[in-house]
Order: sequence, then structure tokens, then C-alpha cells
Amino acid sequence: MNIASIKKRYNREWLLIAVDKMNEATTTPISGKLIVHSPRRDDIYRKLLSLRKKRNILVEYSEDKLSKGFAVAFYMGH
Amino acid sequence: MNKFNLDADKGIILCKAKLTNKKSSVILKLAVDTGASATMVSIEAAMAIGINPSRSIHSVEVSTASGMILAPIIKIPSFKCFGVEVKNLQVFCHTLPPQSPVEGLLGLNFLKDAKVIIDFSRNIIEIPHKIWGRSVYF
Repeated sequence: MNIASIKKRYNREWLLIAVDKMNEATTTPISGKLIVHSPRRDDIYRKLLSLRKKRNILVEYSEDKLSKGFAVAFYMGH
Repeated sequence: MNKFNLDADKGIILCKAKLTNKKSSVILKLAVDTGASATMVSIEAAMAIGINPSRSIHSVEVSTASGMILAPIIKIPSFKCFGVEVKNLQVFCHTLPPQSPVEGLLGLNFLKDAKVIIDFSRNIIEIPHKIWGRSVYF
């Protein structure tokens, strides 16, 4: 299934997807099979770490746009 | 030159990174962060490819928006983003709060070496032709 379709179907959820088609030239996953979805990221991490075969496993939050009224500020210096 | 569309209206510049160690690989959504001196990934992503950050003998004090943290440093055998593969990229490990829509940050140690050009006037990110097999340290 197309990654964009999976993201659309599970709006505002965390997704774990086994990617079967990837554009390596742009590092873009194209399609894959949904392993698990959840509104809680911890559920996704738990499943990810329990998988025996971890090949091209995509961890993704389905929403790319920040919610209205939210802003993010990252700063990492050392 | 590889070109990627960027949508600054999303409030965050996103990219996908593929982390590989031996036969394991995970793909993460990262935020492009020109204010971050180094690339950062979640602890769980590192563990998923068989690298345990708690066994790292190197760590660095990092100032974040929410205070100082001591973050382990690990080497990712193959780190690929925007079609550019960097071997043995050193990254911080830190898990962002669950409210964050990304799994980490693509920082300057990757961006500088990949010679990334961010052009807001044209809404594109340009990457020169592939730089394969580079080792990047910070």
C-alpha cells in the first residue's frame, strides 16, 4: 500500500511500516505494509524493538503539518 | 544536482533518513535543523538497528530547549538522507518528547558535508551529486 494512503487513513497516529519499495536516490519510502498503528508512540517503539527482522522499517507520525497554534523549537549545541 | 521540494508552510522542514547497521535498517522522519551542530536520533531507533547507546563510552553535554542533557554518541555505519550516504556518521542519541512529530534532527555535521543548499525563495533543497562513503565526525 502507498505510504501516503496509509498516512491519510490513520490520521494523527504513529505508524510502523515495513517498506517494500523505496526510492534510494532520494531516500523516500514509496509503499509498504502497515505493521501497527497507535496514537501512542510508545506502542510503536515497543513493537519496533520486538521485531525479529528489521529491514527497511519506517517509523512515522502520519501528520506532517504542525497543529494550529503549535510551534517547535529545536536547538542542539555542544 | 538533486532537488527536493520543501514546504516551509508546514512549520518544519522534514526529511527521511535511513539508518543501517549490518542487516537491520530503520527509516525515520527527521527535522532539518541548521541550528543543531550535530545530527540526533532517538534511542529506540539506535537500538532497533542493534546499537545500544547505553554502551557508548562517549557522550556529550548538550543544551536543549528544555535544559542540559548528557547524550551518548554513537556511530551509524550507514546513514542515508536526501540520497546521500554517509558512512560512520556520529550522532547524538536522545528521544524527543512524544508530542514531537519527528524522530530526531538532521544537523550541521551532515548538512555541511553533504553541501546542502536550502533555498527558501524557490522552496527547494539542493544537494550536489552524491558524495558516497564519507565519514563525518563532529
